[in-house]
Amino acid sequence: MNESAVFSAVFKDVSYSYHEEDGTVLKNLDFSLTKGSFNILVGPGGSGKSTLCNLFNGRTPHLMGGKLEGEVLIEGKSTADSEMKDLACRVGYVFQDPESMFATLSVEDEIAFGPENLLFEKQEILDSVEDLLDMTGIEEYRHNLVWNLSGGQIQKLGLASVLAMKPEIIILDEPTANLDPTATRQVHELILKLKSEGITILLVTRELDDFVSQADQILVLHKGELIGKGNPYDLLLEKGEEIDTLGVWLPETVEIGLGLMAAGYSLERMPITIKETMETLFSLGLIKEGESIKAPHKVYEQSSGAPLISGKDIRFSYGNGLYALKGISLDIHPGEMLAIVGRNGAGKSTTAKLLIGLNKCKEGSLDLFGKPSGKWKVPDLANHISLVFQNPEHQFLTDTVSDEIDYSLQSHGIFDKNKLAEEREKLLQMLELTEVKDDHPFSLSAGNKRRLGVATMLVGDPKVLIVDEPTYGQDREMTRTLMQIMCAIQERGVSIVMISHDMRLVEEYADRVAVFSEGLKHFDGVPTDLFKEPEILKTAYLQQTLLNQMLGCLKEKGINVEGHIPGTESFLKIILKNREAA
Amino acid sequence: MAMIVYHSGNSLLHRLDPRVKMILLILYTMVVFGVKSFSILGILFALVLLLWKSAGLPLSRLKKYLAYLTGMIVFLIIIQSFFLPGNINLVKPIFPEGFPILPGRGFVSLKGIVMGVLLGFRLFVLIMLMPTFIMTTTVNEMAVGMVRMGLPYKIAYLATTSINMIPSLQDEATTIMEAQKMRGFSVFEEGRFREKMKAFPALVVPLVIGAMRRAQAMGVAMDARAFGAGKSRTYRLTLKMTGSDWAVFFLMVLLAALLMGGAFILDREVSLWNRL
Repeated sequence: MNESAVFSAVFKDVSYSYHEEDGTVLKNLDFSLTKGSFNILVGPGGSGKSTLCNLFNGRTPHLMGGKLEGEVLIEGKSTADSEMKDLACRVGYVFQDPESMFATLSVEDEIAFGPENLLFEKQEILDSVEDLLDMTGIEEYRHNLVWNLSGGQIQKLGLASVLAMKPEIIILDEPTANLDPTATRQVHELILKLKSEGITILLVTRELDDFVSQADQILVLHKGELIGKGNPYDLLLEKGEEIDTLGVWLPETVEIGLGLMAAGYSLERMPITIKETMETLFSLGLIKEGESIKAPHKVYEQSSGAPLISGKDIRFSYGNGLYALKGISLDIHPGEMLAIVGRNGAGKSTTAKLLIGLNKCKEGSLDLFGKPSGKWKVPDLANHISLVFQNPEHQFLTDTVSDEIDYSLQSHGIFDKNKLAEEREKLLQMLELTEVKDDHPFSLSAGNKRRLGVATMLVGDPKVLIVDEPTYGQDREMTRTLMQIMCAIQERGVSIVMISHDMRLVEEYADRVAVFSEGLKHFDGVPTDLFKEPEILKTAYLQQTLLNQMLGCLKEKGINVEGHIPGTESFLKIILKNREAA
Repeated sequence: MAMIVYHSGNSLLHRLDPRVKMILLILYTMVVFGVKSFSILGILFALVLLLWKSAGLPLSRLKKYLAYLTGMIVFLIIIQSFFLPGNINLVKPIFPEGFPILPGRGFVSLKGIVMGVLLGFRLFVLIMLMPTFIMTTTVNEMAVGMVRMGLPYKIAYLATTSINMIPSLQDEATTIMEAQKMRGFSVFEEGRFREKMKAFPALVVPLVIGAMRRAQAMGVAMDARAFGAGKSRTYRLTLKMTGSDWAVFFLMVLLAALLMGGAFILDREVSLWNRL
């Protein structure tokens, strides 16, 4: 057995089903993780990623039962013959949302929790706590309580507390899904640091960004089957198109590469970093120095009438002496799509709650639909403005999808049977929920829950609809669908306010964008203008999209970039057209 | 924010050995239950108030507790005054002698009112007592304390992780109520008692489903970190009784004894209102 000297984990023709009679969840998986390598496992929601992760630490089959065929070898030893506690030392697992899984209260206690279970000596534990606090860069928060940490610090603590058990393999489950770009970058740096220390890493994700260029191997999982594996450059060149259709976010650089291939250009290597993409574009002669990339400017005409909502100098505190909003002025006009962006804790949600009346505006002035906010009651205000919550389950009140919509209709004063049925059908059809109309809301798929959440909020024809984090816990397809629904609603004259830190969505959909940071508004205007001022994004801890970063680099090279380019698709169109013209 | 959660600080109460705190909590709970005299309860109330103040716990919280308890206290007074027989009745019995189950009851006795007030006061002091332990002790200290007192560590962690989940559940309940309010569901603010009871499942179902998911995920996470792998485990935190721990312990036990003794001597006070 020389294998164990080279590989940390080997999967030999592994298939798995939860129950004998059910279909297999994982089919004929065959792959290995080289010692000290950095691997990325990517797949859309429901592809079997978490089931696969459970195979590493022996939870499956030891605790979960089910039928396992083939063999999983960790450090040369089959998981079926290993004890779970031994596997726990070998394979560390950082959960997607470590915060809700912390077993203790303080940062130091949490790091020590694992080693304590493994009966490490006290002095050894104390030493490793010191080392890990230092390594993950959370030393200054050592005495903090876990719930006072920011999203990025929570991920670092999750990682530290797993590292404390001295594992050989670390699995990270979507560590950056809810982090702002600055924190994301820090987590990425930490991952590279671990790799340099010889730890085998498996990063599980449903979206790929340019960090993928650092990986040694990518594994693509779809419906329980491994449809691709290999180094990122070869794999994306070979299977990029297929991965794209799965509904996985790809970095814009790769989207450009794929677009070029679709247009008939042959690439030797898939560009992943900005530099590589520019090199590809130059070497193919698609962009030449001194040339221009011209796009039509996005024309946004604010409707001339009075704004629906007008806030001036709003300050707001939750009563702990700290101000969540420190003087925000914001107008919302009829029929526009406004994006409010900023990192977690910038004041976005506080503002949303003010608009729907859950927070009361005490300092500054806030007019909602021609009436001061103080004179509105929440249920009455709900007829004019609605909020689609991040977790749609919180809004459900009844036992079936139909009842759920009826409830909303009735609370808007529609009791006539025929009218009720008519309105209900209209909403079910619009959001494609007719098939599941008799199901229990809690039993729906994540996507359908989200749709139902939107459906109930559309009742009563609100004038403004707020969507909280449309990308939260969604893969690309779901986000796209949700945004298309939003656009359709906007066309009916409803103003949409989306709260997000995803600049790609802003670039693609928003008419206007407001940047929040630390309770203040730093920018309010058309997205194209925002991307001209990278400093503002930096102070708000946000990051330009890869496409915009690249356009910035092109400008530095003397290429004239004009107008609004909302995504890679329109970028490709422009440069290909330029070629044709020439 | 959550009602009873750990409140950071470095007061004497925070630094005190968790075992001492736990034993004293049990002891004083018993004292509060055993005392029938208003004066001794008053002293206990002042004592607990002092502890709150010294530990820097937010006194504004007390107003909230009182608000939550008001209904309960009023209920106690009514029940006691209706059914506890005394010598002075403000209202004649509603049920005649020979009435099944409640013969000659249904009056409003002065003694009952006093008894009700006493029970209410006792309840309030008890509710105040709890946070002096929970809000000054981290869950890890609690767990280690319990283990050192002989409890199996799995049970100790079962208790402490449950306490740890309270704040997130409270946050979630708030979010759910806000989300439902957005749908014009305002029973919890404006509805009558019966409507509230009927509406309760709408709040509880998502909360329970969320809590079960959370608990399950927590189980997975603890498994993944080898919790329960061995018969015992080691601890980063070592508890050692210091001189001041012992001093506080004996002083507080002595005080408890004095209070009990005082209650015995003040039996006259009790018999005084017993005669009402």
